[in-house]
Amino acid sequence: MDLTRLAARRTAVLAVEVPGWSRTRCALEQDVRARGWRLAGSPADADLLVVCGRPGARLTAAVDHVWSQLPGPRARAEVTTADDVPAVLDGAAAELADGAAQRRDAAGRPADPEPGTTAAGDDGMGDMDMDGDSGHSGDMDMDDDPGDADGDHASGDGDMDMDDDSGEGGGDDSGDGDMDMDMDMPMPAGIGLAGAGGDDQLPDPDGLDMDVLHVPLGPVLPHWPAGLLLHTTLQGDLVVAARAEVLLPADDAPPDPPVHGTPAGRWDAVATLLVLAGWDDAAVRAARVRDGLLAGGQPPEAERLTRRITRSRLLRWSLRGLGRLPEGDAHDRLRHWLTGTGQRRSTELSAVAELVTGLDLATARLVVASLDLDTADRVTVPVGAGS
Amino acid sequence: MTVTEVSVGWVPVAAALLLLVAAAAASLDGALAARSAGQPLGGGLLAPVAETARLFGQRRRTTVAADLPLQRIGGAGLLTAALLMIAVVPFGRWTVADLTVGVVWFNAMDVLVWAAVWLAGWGPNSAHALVGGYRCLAQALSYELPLMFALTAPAVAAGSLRLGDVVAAQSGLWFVVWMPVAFAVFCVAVAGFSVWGPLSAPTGATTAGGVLVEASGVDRWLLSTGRYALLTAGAAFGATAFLGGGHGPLLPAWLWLLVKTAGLLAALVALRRVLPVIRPEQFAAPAWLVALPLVLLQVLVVSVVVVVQA
Amino acid sequence: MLTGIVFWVLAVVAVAAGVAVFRVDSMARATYALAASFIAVGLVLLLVDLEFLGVITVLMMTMEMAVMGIYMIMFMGMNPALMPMSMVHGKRPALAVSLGTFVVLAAGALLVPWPTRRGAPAAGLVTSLGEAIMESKMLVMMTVSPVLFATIVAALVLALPRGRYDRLGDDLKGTALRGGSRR
Repeated sequence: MDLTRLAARRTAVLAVEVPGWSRTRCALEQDVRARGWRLAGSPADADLLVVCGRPGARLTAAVDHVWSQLPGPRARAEVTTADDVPAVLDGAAAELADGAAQRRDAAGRPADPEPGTTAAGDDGMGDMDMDGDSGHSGDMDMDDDPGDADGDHASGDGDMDMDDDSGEGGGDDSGDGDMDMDMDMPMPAGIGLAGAGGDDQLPDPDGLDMDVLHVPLGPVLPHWPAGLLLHTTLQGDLVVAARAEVLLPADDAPPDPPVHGTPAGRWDAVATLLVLAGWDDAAVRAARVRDGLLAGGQPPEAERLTRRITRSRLLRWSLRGLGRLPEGDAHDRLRHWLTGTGQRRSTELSAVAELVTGLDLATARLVVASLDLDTADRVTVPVGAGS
Repeated sequence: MTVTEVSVGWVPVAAALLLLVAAAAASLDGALAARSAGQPLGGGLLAPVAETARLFGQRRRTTVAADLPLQRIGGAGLLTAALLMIAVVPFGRWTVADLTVGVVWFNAMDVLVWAAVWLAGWGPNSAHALVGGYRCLAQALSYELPLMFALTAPAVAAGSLRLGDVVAAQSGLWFVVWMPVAFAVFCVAVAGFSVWGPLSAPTGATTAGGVLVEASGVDRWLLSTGRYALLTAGAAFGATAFLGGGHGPLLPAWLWLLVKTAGLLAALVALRRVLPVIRPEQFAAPAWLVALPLVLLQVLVVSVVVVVQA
Repeated sequence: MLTGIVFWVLAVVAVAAGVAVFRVDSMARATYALAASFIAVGLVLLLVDLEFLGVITVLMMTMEMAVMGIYMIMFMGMNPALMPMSMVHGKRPALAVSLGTFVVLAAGALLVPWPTRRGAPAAGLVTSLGEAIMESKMLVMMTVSPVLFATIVAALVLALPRGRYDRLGDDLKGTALRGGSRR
């Protein structure tokens, strides 16, 4: 089984951070790097699923759904403190290498992919006011959609409700297309289709009546604030409406000491934003600086890296003007993180929704990363305190 | 130096050579990644082998209501296009297909990549993959026209679309010396059709992996290998059309081509370390407003020189 | 012999893909079936030594169909593209027209007394093709291309009276959109 050992050198780990466990996630990332492994970009890419922290019911359901999307061989683990990370990863790696167990796991799985979310209509997208200042579109009232624990999960899975072709039923002559479809219409594979929105249809920024698609972003999505679930309404690839909420950790679980607000937390935000900006090299180095700071050192390369990042014209060009807040845009915030200037300011969830509205999906990701949301902070605030 | 067409039996050898050089490029990328992660280089150098072992042991995964035929065609398309590209590149004194329109052939094959990436994004029936596929088309529209004119420059200078003639025309002076703009545009376009480095937005992290998001196992291997193979084929073509092909002192022609290809390929691989990704919606403006006029000017200069010399 | 086999394979692929355009029920498949048909035709041109025309057909048609993928989403919304639909509209007239065209062309191909080849093909086919197109008709080509380009741009402008940049501003911040809905 030399091949398995060889394959194990590149094990891809999908890290799921529960709000409050960023320190564990940082330790996980460091250990993954030290083993020569890498972080997976999507469930399809992953061999290991590692949950950092104790997720609550809805987050657990989302993680379970993502687990069903790992292609296999696969292994799953949960880790709640930074110190446990090496042991947990060793255990998971052993499970991954256990051929007999993997074959049993594969035999027990359904042959066909299961349809997942019915993102459309599960989240009360009735509040279509775009200004998002109504207060209830951003808070964390969980009673808004009871019992949809099965509904929301990572993006990057196969069941976005676009459908193109079923190979059957080609007879219906729907050439004029966009009038007669309904979201409730039963679709070939039993999944909801992007529909001409009806009530959901918003004035399209391009003047094209693109169909409406509901795509949940998060809560299991790499380089994404822990536990954040952003219900987006897409027309084409433009976010025309969004609503944010945070999926909570399990009750009475003691989280890590916070990373946010510390220098390490700032470098963590830098690393996340740089990965999304597509600059892997600088991102990895930023993560190393972060890990150095967490270990209590004062990494000497921080200064050089800061100069390198702030000097990059291409980076400035792509981040300039994104997510503009009173104190500056995404690039300004990146500079503040790097230099340690500018006081931390927590962004309201409702503001997130407003900031990403009107942007395309990819730019929206950059904007969210540039906000450095502290979703763990919110859990300690009593629910409803904001509204 | 004349270029002779070898028999069809050599095609597998050419394909193997392409994959070998592509694997070397992946090793280099792995080593550079290991260096920035502060890890020993050895593990990085082995990355393509380990990744291949991993992906070949991984299950293929399907998604709900996926368009499997189109997805598979798209997945295989990148590697196919790369193989067809190098078919016209003279390897020293030999070439697999001595087309009189080799330059146009290369161009046609790079357009196949548009279709392949889009199909790979369309097939899985997933929002992120679809967005990735469209982002590829969006940036392709930006780089393709400058690329076409950049390819015109060496053809005009050589007075032929045959790659053997293009190489022969560089016996005195490499084209890169007096066509730097065309060469620069060409290199950017190679990154574009290989979905690489600053132009890798279609597979970027902002769309959770874009066209790669649903691919696992062999499907992912084909897409990733196809990207490296395209990068390699692009470097080989660039070495032929701009860096004098097999011309050089002492060494045999094929070795010179290999050396030049490796050099250009290494530079392209390193590009990913140096630059972040360009957002496709921002790329159109500089491509059409700066690169296109510049490269047209370059073609004008080349044409004037050719006319004056004749 | 080999050429004959290749020709027949390509011919069958071209026709079969052409038929598939109307038989499949998804716009993506129809678009790329059409592309496949054109590519097969382009490769047939290579067989008769029209290398430039053959390769340029492959290039143009692939690009065209890829771009058509954008348009089909852009102008038809997502529904027709993403759900099963019939690719045939107005079946009877279409059938009549296509049959009529086929009969006329086939009859022409069979009945017209084709001249036998005089002389040999030129050594530089690409050069002679360029001369044939460009030498005496350069002025026409120079005029036609900007007119064609202007037509495409004008058609787009007419089809898209208010683009995303009109409404959202150059930086796509969307203040215009949101400001509008607030009012």
